Amino acid sequence: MTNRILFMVGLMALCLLSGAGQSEAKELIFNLGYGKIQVIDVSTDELLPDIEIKGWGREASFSADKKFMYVTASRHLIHKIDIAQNRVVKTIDMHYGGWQRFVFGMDLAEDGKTAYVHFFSRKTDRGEVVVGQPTVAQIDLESGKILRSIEVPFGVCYLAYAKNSQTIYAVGLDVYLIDVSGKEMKTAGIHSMFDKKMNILPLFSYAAENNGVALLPYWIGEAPGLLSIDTNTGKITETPIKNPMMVYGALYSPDMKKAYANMDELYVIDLASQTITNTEVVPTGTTFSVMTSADGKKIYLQGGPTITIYDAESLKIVKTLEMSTDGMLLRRLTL
Amino acid sequence: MDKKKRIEALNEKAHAIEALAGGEMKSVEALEEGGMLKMPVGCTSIYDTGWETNPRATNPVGNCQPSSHDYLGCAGDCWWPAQNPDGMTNYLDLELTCSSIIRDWRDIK
Amino acid sequence: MLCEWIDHQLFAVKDGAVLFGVDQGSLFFIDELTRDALSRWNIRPTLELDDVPMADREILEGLRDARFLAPSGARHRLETPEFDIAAIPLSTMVLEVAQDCNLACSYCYAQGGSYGRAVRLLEPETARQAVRKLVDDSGDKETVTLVIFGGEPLLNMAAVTAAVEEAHNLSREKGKRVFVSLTTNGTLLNPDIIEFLHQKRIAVAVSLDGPADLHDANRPDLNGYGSYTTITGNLTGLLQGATAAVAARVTLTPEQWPRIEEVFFHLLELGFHEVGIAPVSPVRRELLPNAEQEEALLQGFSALSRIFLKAAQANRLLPFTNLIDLLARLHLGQTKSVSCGAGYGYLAVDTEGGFYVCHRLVGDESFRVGTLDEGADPAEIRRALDSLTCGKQEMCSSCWARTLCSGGCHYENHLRENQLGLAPGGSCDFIRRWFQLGIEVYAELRRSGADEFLQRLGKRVKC
Repeated sequence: MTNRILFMVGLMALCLLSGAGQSEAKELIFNLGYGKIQVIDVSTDELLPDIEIKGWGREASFSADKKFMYVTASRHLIHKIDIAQNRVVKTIDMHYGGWQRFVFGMDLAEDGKTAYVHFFSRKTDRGEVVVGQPTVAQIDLESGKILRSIEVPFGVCYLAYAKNSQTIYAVGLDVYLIDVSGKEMKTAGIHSMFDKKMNILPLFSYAAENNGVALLPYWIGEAPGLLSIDTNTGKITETPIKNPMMVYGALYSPDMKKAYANMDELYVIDLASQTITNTEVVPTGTTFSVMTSADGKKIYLQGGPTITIYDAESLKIVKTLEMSTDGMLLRRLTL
Repeated sequence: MDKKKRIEALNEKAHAIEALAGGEMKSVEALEEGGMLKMPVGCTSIYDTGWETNPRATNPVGNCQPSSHDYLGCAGDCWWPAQNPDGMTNYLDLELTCSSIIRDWRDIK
Repeated sequence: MLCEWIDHQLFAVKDGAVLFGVDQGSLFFIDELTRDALSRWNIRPTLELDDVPMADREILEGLRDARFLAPSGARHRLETPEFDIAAIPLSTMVLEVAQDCNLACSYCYAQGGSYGRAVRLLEPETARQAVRKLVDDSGDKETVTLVIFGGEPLLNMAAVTAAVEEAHNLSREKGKRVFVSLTTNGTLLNPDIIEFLHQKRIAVAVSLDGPADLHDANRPDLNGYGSYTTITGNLTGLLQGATAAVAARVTLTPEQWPRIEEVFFHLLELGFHEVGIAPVSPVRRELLPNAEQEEALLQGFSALSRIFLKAAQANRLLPFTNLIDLLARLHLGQTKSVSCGAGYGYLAVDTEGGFYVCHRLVGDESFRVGTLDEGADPAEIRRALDSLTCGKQEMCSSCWARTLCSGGCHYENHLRENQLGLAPGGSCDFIRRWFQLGIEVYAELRRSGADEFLQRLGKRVKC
């Protein structure tokens, strides 16, 4: 009898443990909105409580321990969000020292205390505008202080940081490689795009959820393509797509055999043949950001006040979420 | 006193500079390679082809559809072909009155 | 508003002055009043526009709109971009089909056409390979240029024919235009060769230095006899029925410079479509000019420019190549950050199939940057160009002509500085005065309403 009770207690403890395990394997998608970030629980596709932020969210980067998400807002604030507490715990403002700095591109450094950011800057001197040279800088996330920096050409608006090679890929008219391994940041090469008449839109991209690969749609003349920057290997690849498509965002399937891309349509691209194998018009109109669930079974498209969720296999809509804020970017985190 | 008579642009570069001083619209013209004044398409002049050039025979041509989808995205830091609040300089708290354009547009002052 | 002056240069002309915006390449005419105001205010580097008295302030505002004054602290000077050589497609190839010559010109930089090496002819198959390389490496360029050169290229018609044939086949195959030109001393032209040149629409440049006495003084054959009579005897056939431009390429030694005008018109009368005049490169110390000779050269160019101007005002183009090219660039306001295309899409190939950054540097191992088989190495090109330009930036940064000249001819500098051991900058004064002459002619043309004429000129220079 005693044994039996002990057994039952043991079983209950196991159940509790496994239950706790399940609630920890939580998968979240963040919708960077206006004055707030809305959170989707991927297991149910229900909305969780909002995270209030000041300004309009534009880009995000997760700490390695997955406890914090850093979000740029209104292009000059950087919010540190405690994910467990669901709230902003610290905000730094890049407008200081007489300069207004506008952040376009951010990725955390491996130390967790600093980030690489790209910014434009301006100030007024006796009523006249003075424009600073665009800069990629390493900043202290506690104070916003610029620790070291390097000037870059105009046009950069996305950064991907490769920890292995300690190289920043700054995407603008061309891709500028910046070596940060030494004391000073230094240019380490250019992947030319402008001279090839490549027109790139690096606004809806996220290497972290994409096996470490930043995937950016481009156009040459009438032909679309996908530029991939693999932050694991440092390899930059241009993949022309043989069918016409108009897209903002792009993301690989988990097996990296397919890519999903979106704007007014959702496209499925077979990467081996570089052709579009399936496409659906989005009923609510233009969408910006594309995200999948970690298992690749669902596709999330962000467009204005709606998020449309597709079954990745059939491209059937499984759910439409009406959001309380418009937004531009979706990010995913598995806890 | 007519400045025109005092300073006269001679070569093509000088004409382009003069046009730049004449205002933003003229600057677009000056920077064009030639021909008619062209409407820039896309988010900014950097991304000037391919995006937001709705290729279908549907309205709004050359824009997101519905246009409202683009409104707040471009109110922040981007280009939009109509008057909208500028979130980097003049309307810093736009999100407080309007975080969903379809719902809140009446509140924009 | 606190403003600072943007780098500019002033040239006095009738009723006022021409103001050149150094970094922009802009040219403005300003009247006497503006010129006075400028000279009163530009003595200090910055000025507070609001403190300037009304009468001058309006003038200075005009100069601000023309970008000669800018808010203090704003970034004005263009930084020299680092070009990614590997990303620049090949657009011009100079092919040395013969490193040999049947003349013995006194001023030859190629040491009798051999470039200091054993006499050698390009194999026809290598010629074909070179042309294929030019087309293959030309990226998205729709037109590429093949310059057939020597030595004397007509000594190796087998290679010339092979190269031209390959160029025609490839342009058909790849849908590209291969523009072919050939530079010759003109002595070996015969009816068959002339027919070939006409049929293939090859632009020909003939090295001819003017009237017989001037030409023969420096261009004798191997036995010491002048070559003028032979060449002019061949010219009639070449000019009659020409399908592409036939230009005279003139090289004059310093003691000949007082006769520039005579040389030009002599060649025009012979029927050349264009005449370009080059002062000789100082391959030997004796060929360096003295101040008086340099003055004579400028006077000669100046006299030709005045005649050019008169003709242009009657909408006629005097085919003085040097000035035409300069005016076209000034018209567009084109600035340069490198002095020439050498290494940036422009390469020479010698008879052994080696790549060099420039045809004038062929034979000098330190400017060899690859082979036809392995291709030109961008790192080697960078190294060769850096060796030619290093240390010049500081000197050039204070020169008003820097965006027009950008350092001058590599070969000329190499000769003066590395071979003759002269201080850098020896030809700068001449270069600046030549640009000034061009600016003055341009301003006068512009102000006399030759707009259509200038537009036609502008089309000659493309970025």
